[in-house]
Amino acid sequence: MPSPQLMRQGFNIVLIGNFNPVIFQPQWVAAHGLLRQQEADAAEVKVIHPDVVIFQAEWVKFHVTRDRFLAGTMQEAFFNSLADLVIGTFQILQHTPIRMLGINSDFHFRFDSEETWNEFGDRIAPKEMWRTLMGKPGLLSLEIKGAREHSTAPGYVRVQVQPSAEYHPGASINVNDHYELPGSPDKPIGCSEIIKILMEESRASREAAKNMTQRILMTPGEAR
Amino acid sequence: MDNYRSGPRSDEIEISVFGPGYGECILFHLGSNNWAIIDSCMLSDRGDPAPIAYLRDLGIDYTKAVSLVIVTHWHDDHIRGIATVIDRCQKAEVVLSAALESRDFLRLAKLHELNPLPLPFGLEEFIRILRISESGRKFKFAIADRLLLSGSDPGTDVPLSVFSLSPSDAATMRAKKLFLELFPQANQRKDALLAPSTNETAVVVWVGIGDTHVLLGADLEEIADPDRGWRAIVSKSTLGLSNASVLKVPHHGSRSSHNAQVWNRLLIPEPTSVVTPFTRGANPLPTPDDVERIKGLSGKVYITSMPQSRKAVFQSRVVAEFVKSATRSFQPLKRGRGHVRLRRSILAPNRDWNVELFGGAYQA
Amino acid sequence: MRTAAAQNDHASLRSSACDHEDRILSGWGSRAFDESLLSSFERDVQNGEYLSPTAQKCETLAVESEGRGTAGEAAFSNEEPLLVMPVMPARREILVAHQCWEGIVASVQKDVFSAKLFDFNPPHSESMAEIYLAEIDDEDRTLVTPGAVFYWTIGYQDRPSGRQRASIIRFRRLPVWKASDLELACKKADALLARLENG
Repeated sequence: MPSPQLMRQGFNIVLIGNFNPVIFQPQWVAAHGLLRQQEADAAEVKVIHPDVVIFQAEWVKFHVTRDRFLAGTMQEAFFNSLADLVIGTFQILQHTPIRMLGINSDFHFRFDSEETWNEFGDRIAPKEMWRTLMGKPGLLSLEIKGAREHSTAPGYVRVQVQPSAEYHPGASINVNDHYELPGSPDKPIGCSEIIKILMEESRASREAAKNMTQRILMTPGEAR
Repeated sequence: MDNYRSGPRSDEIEISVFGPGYGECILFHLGSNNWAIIDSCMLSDRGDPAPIAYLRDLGIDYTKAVSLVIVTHWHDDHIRGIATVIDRCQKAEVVLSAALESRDFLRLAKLHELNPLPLPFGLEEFIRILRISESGRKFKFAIADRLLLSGSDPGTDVPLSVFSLSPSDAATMRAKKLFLELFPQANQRKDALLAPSTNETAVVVWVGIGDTHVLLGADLEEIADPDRGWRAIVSKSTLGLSNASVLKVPHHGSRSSHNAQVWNRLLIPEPTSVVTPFTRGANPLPTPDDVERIKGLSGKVYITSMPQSRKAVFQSRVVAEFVKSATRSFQPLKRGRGHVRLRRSILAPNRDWNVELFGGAYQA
Repeated sequence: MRTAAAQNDHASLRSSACDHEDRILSGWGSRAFDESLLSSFERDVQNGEYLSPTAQKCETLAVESEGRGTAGEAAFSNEEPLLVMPVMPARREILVAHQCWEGIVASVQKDVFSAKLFDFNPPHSESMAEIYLAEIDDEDRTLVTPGAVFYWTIGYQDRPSGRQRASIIRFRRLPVWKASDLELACKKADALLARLENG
């Protein structure tokens, strides 16, 4: 089967903790040197509200609520910069209580034909049993969770495979690398542990997600 | 390559110098499967550091056989992979330059540990070494005229000794001052720390096994100061050393590392010289003049790897075109296996060295 | 009467629905959700109950926050994925990278800076380059100092207007050293030195 073509990748970092959303504004980020001033000036602010802030700078989107921080980009040239941006932000806000970290990669592929696309869908989610239960069964979403292989940091990996909403015939593969801090989830610790994990794991997580995605797409013949 | 994997005999000295074009390391068989490692480099972009890979190729258990690991200085080309070497050679005593046993150097290392560099340059390898020390491993620090190892070869009963001949006190003091200057102030930007270009704190090593003596020059340079560099060794050493028959030529054969008194006083007439080239950057070493100078002083000169083609080749046209337009120069680092191996019986110090050349090494 | 926001959202949803109309998804199942979204949108507008997705989200989040605060329980459970995809911007520029290097500035001269470059993708090669300072704009020029880390990506940028060649050099931006960082480093170093000296 010809390899599906990678059309785009995304990378985002999600933190769960206690945040004050109104801090996270483009000018604040630029004032600390974490974004270029021109990027901050040109940023599109969608919402600034005590409970939620959403803005989009040229290559990065911030989406912050009282309990969730997300920064994401779809520009591969800025994947490292995104990690630096989040690390830098919480080196400044070092007393922010944070409990969990998600390092997430997503990939959108286009298949060369609907036939190969359907073959892929059938391979990862065999339909034989479902055909006995319904007509024309189709995969809407497949989600698998398991232990992380590329590091021993606490948490898990969750992979979601779906038809791509952007490319047809296509598939999107989302890899959620979830990290939890040791200790009780009711007792959040400050940021330093999370930032340390992010510094140590960011690159390895992206690489592992890429490798995993390539293996998901391989046919059994290619995998041998 | 058939002989490559055959190890030295128990009563045989081996000096293996690796110099793939960027990077240098030396493995020394002291007799009876007792090995010393000086520095580390990588022969390929991934995989084990050269010393580990070589000992494994010889079928030697490096976790037990290596008794000494010396890190001569902290330049990239001498320490790539050294933390792995230290970690795996569990029985080895580890020796660092005394310039690094300094509050200010350790402060720099600890500071940069808070913001690790995503790249395999700079202090990263040393930060790993320090983590090993924090888990209980003991380190020794080399200064001028310090005995690092002594004893006798159990197989032949021949006495052996390893000395450090540098750094001098003056060089160490200057380095410590430099580390203090490099420590940032509050509100200063977080840049990575690159090793200062000075080589004056490099550890020069003298190995004596019976009547065989070897001088390993690291990257020490000649400095116009009697208290530092080669002058300090030649004029101030109290060890009375002489008659080394092999020289690992310092600092890739550069003119700046040449001191005539080293050749007159520490070496036999026409010793065997080994040079590791440095092919990175705008000024590769050794230059043709350097080679001629060293040949004029040596019986034989071996260079661990050939000068390499430094033209970059890109798979993608857009990359090739952008690199061409955005850069004045672009030099890929091509790794080879450049390796000069010298062997001789411990009991035959007057015999010629048996020389083998691997992976692009050649006689000049 | 539809608000401007409602008009925009309607156009967007209608466009999505048309894209899906001629897709046969028998292998994967029907993607009818866009049609159902459109239907419910039209119904909500007629009933005067329309909220834009953003405003809806704000309301949902506000309710979640309040719920958590009063109930004392985390609204986020350990089972809920930390996977939130950014909303797709209407205008997209996607860089297809052909080469990525991470670099460190070794020295700066008049017209160029020399740098060590490292490619984390196989074959993990290293290079040295002298890069023209003209490749860096004025705002980033102050970042070009020995030890500065940067990322260099070369490839094609796909824009709504078409494909363009792209070379992006992005310098690493981190906050400045704090006095507390320096103190912590000093404490750790002193402890390590004591251990080393005591053998």
